[in-house]
Amino acid sequence: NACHSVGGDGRMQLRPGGVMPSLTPTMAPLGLGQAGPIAPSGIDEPAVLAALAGLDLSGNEEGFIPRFGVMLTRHFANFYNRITFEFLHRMQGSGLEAEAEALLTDAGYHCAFRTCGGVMTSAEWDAVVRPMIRTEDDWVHGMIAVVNALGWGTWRIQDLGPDRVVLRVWDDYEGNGYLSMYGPTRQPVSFLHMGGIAGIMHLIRFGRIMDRPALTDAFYEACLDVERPFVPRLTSSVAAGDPFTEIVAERG
Amino acid sequence: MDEVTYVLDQRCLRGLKVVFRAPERLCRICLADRLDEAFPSATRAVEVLGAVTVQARVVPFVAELRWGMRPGEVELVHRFTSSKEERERSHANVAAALHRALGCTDH
Repeated sequence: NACHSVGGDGRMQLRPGGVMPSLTPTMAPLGLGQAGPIAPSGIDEPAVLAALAGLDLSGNEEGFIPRFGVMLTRHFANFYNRITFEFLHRMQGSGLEAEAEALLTDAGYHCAFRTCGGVMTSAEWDAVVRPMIRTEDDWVHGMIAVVNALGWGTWRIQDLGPDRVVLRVWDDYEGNGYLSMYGPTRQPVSFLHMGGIAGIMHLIRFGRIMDRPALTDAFYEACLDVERPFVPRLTSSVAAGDPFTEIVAERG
Repeated sequence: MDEVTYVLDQRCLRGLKVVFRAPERLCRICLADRLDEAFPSATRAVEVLGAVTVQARVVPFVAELRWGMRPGEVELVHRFTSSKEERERSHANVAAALHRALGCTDH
């Protein structure tokens, strides 16, 4: 009871002996060589990855990573995973399970808007990806290439059209995390991925991110408030033991 | 009209990042020399992004400068813990360095 948060005085005493609590198991081995092929586009993904490998993403003296026009942080995936999944579990039986899942998916959507929107209007994007872009769809493929440099898993576009995208993710960090912490489940757990791909599609198809809009709160609302938004649904999941997580996002 | 302009980045780094823009004729050698004069204690770094070479200068807990990604642009990213006075001084130093670099006749 030393912690201030429970009224303690903050003093702790260390004694030898005792048993270490078990730590969250490490994630399943990364199957980096197992991902499907890169979809054909104007984007040279290996060149994008090679170029971004030259970026220092180790964090500055304050622990922040100001890159791509946004403030990134290097985080333990299982820390965020734990918060997400414990929240989900604690909402079971509350009658608000669907709302909980919607909230987590919305967090992924916010992430896409702020992070991916920032990336696609950054100087780094202009230097590395923009010269490769020939079509509107290349914006989607280019953003996927950058995501693959960030360590979230290996994203592959399976199908892409004006109103539909099918995304497959190998080594989905959310699915891997849930599987290793709690065991298999058919319930959706890849909320960042679901919200993220829907958000990317909204930024490109509705938000016209290529015109470099200001990423204000009003713009966010305008991107959301569209007729027939992209709605993501999970069609396969690493957390269920499937070889990849697949998300289909379609305009409703 | 001032050839050097700046804009506060209103995205995720709002308030921390300022993008300075100067004409593309800006000499890269003079720019590096003038910025190094303005920030003599900065740590230097170079990042290669494919065909683009990015120069970076970091004054710990004060600011980071980055240029080379877009012609004529210098990014000034204040550190979160930097003071108002430090931010004003960094801003003024970058603007002055850019003006001096534009006057380059050596290269």
